[in-house]
Amino acid sequence: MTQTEQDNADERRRRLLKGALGASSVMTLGYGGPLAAASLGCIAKVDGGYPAGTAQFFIGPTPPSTPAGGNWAWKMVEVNRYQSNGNGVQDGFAVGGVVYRANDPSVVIPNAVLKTNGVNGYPKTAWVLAYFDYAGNEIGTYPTYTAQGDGFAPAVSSCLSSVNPGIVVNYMFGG
Amino acid sequence: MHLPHGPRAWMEAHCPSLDGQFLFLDPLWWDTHLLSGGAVEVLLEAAAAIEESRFDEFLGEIRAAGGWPPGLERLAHSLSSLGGGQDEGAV
Repeated sequence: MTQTEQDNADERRRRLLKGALGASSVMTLGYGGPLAAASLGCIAKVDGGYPAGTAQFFIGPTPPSTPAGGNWAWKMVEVNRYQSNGNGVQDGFAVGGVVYRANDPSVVIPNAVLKTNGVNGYPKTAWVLAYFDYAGNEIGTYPTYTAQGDGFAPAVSSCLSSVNPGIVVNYMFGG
Repeated sequence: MHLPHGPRAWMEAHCPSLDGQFLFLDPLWWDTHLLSGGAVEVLLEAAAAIEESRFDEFLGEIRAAGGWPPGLERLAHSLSSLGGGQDEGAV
């Protein structure tokens, strides 16, 4: 970068900074502040304790409950009948455009074709564990994600309500 | 679990968006502040300046641009307490 280009870049940055300063506002939170502070980073603090493996998929009207009182966020999916490569039909559910077997939810049904139409009892309600970034935005669900990683994890109800309350209605909570 | 401690990593981890505004956790005083998008931009610039060891120069730019809006300078200085971006494992 030439000196002139550098000077122009610096000048552009100063103008942007001036605009940002003009659009700046800070509201220090009162009594609720310490509570919010305790909640901030609550997804980053998750260290296991959530359902693992295929237990992250559950067929039923609500997410599973456990004696331990787990309260993790689950997202609803539908179980339908699918045919694969012209073979017999089987129960499956779709996540991210991929269809997985309901009786072995980590296994993909290749070339799945929906065959539910007219079949009594379908679709069935089922649930998959949801994963969130540290700001509480969903990044995906099981089986796309199977365990927490760098920057994302499952979230419990109280945590999600604190960091991103607007999306809580999209989930149900359970073990 | 790994908690980031550099100013930019702190902003990423502890300044989530809340319906168009941002909730910032002060790393020094451990209190929270509701920020506008403009205030977050300024703090991100401050975080970059801190990590690039040009925070004093950045403070001069703020003065030249008309000075700090109420409440924001303290937050920028709190970020500077995190230093130049070491992780918790750094010594």
